Amino acid sequence: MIFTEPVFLAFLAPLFLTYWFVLKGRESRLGLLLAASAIFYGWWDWRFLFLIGLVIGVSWWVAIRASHFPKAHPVRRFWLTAAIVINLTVLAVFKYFGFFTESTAAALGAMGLKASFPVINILLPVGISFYIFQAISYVVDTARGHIPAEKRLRRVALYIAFFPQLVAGPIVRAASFFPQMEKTKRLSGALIASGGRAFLIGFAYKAGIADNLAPFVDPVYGDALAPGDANLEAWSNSALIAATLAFAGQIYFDFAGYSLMAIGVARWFGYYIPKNFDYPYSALSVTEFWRRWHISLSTWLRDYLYIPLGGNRAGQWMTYRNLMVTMVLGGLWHGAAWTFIAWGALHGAALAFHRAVFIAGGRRIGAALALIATQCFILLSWVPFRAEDFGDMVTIWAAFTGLRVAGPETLPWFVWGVPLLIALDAAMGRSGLSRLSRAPVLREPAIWWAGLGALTALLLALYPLEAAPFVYFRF
Amino acid sequence: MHPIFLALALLALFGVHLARVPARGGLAGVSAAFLTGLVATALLLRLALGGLGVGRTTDFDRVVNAAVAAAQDEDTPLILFAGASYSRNAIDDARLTRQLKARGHPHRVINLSLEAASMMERAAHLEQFMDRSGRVPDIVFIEVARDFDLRVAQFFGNSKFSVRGIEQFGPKVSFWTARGLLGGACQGMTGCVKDGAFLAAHSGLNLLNVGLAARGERAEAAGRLDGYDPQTEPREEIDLMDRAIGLSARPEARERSAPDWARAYRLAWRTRLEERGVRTVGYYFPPVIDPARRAYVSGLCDAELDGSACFAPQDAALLRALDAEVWFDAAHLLDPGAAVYTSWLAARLAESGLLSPGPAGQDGGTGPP
Repeated sequence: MIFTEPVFLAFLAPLFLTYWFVLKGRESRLGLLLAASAIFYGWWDWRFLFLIGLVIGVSWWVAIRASHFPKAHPVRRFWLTAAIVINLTVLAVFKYFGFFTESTAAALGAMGLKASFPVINILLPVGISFYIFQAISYVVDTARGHIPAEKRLRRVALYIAFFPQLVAGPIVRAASFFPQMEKTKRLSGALIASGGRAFLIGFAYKAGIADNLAPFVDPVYGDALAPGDANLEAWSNSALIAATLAFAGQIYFDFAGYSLMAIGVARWFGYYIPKNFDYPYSALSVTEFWRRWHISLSTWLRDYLYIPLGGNRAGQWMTYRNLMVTMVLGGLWHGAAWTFIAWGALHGAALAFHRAVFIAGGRRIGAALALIATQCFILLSWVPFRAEDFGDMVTIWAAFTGLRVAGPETLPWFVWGVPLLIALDAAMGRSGLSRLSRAPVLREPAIWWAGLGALTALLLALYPLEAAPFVYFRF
Repeated sequence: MHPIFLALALLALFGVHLARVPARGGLAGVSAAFLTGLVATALLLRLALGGLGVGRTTDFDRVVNAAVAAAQDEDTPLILFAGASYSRNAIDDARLTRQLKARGHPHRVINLSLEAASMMERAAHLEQFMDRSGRVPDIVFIEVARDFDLRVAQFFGNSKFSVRGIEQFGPKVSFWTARGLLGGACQGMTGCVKDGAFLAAHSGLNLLNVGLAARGERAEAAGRLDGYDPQTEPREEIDLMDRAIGLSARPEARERSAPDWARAYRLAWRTRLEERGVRTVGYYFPPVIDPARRAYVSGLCDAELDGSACFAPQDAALLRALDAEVWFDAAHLLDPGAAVYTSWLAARLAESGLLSPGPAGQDGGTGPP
């Protein structure tokens, strides 16, 4: 069940009505949301419920156990470590087992040693990377004393499994979510409107744009869910570049669209989830890019990995090392493949370079040049992120240089218009163009609502009847 | 994909960023304004996209593309078979063309069939074929199948909410389907209610242009798919005894006429084809193991369709030849079975007199039998 499918509407409408018009008590509403979250998650595969149940149970129990001891007490540390290890083990087994065994076998093979590991076909539970990170942040925050350990299992369960952000984020912090569960909620026009606006933009991003860009990416790069079917030789250099541009658009509109829809749905139930994207393709540096792209992940990595590693407190070289480690692990978080590690390493190196030259070094370049350099780097870095292997990555990079012997297949010319979509989006969100929405003419109810009707007709025409799952689901 | 996608996506992006705080107004007023905007834009989009030839492309467009290409290869008279999956697995058009040629008939046979295609969907694509190829077939054979006649919304039994489902339920198809449902061409009260609900949903989605610009593709650019789909491996095991009994049985036809809607539609389709210059409209049904389904067509050939060329698969020799490992399942043939049936069809066509030369000036150069 994904947000753009009609079945989600059939799920959401009765849930919304029951939540606001049938149930009045806080506990019953929390119970309803938890039950709805279980149905939402079990819709993919009911067996996944056991796994998320385990993660919830362990996090809840360990947080309570640890809270019986003072902050720096070794037993508290033990429980904290145990919870992190259990959660990461779940992630390692379900997401990385095959990758680790294959990589180890390949490494041993390269050294002339033959190793055989058991082959276990494990189904990757959807959204596992997201809810494991939420669970870890809850345990760590309680152990650090930032929030009290929650004794009521239902609240911990809802925090980790809240359906709008369960399968692809944003990664929500316990400190922001738990107080919201205790607040008395009232349905208002403003609540519906703000949720509706976020959902509408997200829907346009995902269904109107991202899904319709996929047919330009998949034939070139190969189906992301069926590795090994890319045939790059057939494509011209311009097609490879255009497909990379299309992918840059697809992944942004897909993931930002999902996040906005999650924010909108959560708001309809009275919950506020912070924004996850802030026009990242307008960033003037890689550092700024990571403040605008997948904000909930980058702040998570900063707070639970980069800073505990020492952050920027232990000198220049340690800072670079910490950046590198953080981004490589961030890359691995995205997928169990060396290409994701390469993508993370590239970003780690770019962050270190930016820090050394422009932050510590104090150099300055013009905004236009900074924008072009940054976005060219981001574009090129999407190649390892999407390519099936290093061979494909090198081939596609070679296409950018024009040094590759190209094939005959091309993509339609208007795929080169994808940057126009990105630019318009950023202009409408960040520049003075956003003031257009406050134009007096749009305050006329007849015009505003007729415009919404027209927009609905437009989005329905763009709606892909063969909906693609969200790109980030597989992470 | 057509560049119109980029323009519409830019427009949508611009629109969603403008839609901030809703302006307050009375419920009736804002509802009317919303509906006006929705309907006016939907109409505009339909006109604009229709003008550009952009729409939802389906496998049927690909079948038509292949047919158009085949029809342009040569300037011989055309025979078209318009059917559903029964015909798609049973009529090897290339083989039939060769066999007719061997008997001295220059006709080119084209199989314009697709799985689960209702008469209305087939008719729409036949029109598309004639418009696009600029050719009018000399003879059109229309598949007559009991299940499609008795359940007007047979498509919903195979596929719901697919691109093809939403695309086909435009006003004309919806009208005829509704007429069939009101006449009882559905399975029991529950079945009728379900089919009615699905019809309403599909018609609504079609009316609102859902997915019309998503692929942004022109039918001509959708690729090609042959109407004949040869099957080489059975998909279900058929009991030898059941097969032998089914193929040897000759029950009396219970029906002499199709339900009202099917009869009326076939007549309207036939009239339309004749108006467009098709010389002969004939009917047929490929062999199936179930004798009742064969008997239905046989009954129609003897009564309702009497006076038209009508080939019911009741020939004992044909059915004996098919009592072998030639079945994909109980209702569809494997390639060797298709070879048997195609040869039988070639013989029936040759001896029917339908293919004899006609007066000069008629498309295809053949005249009435």
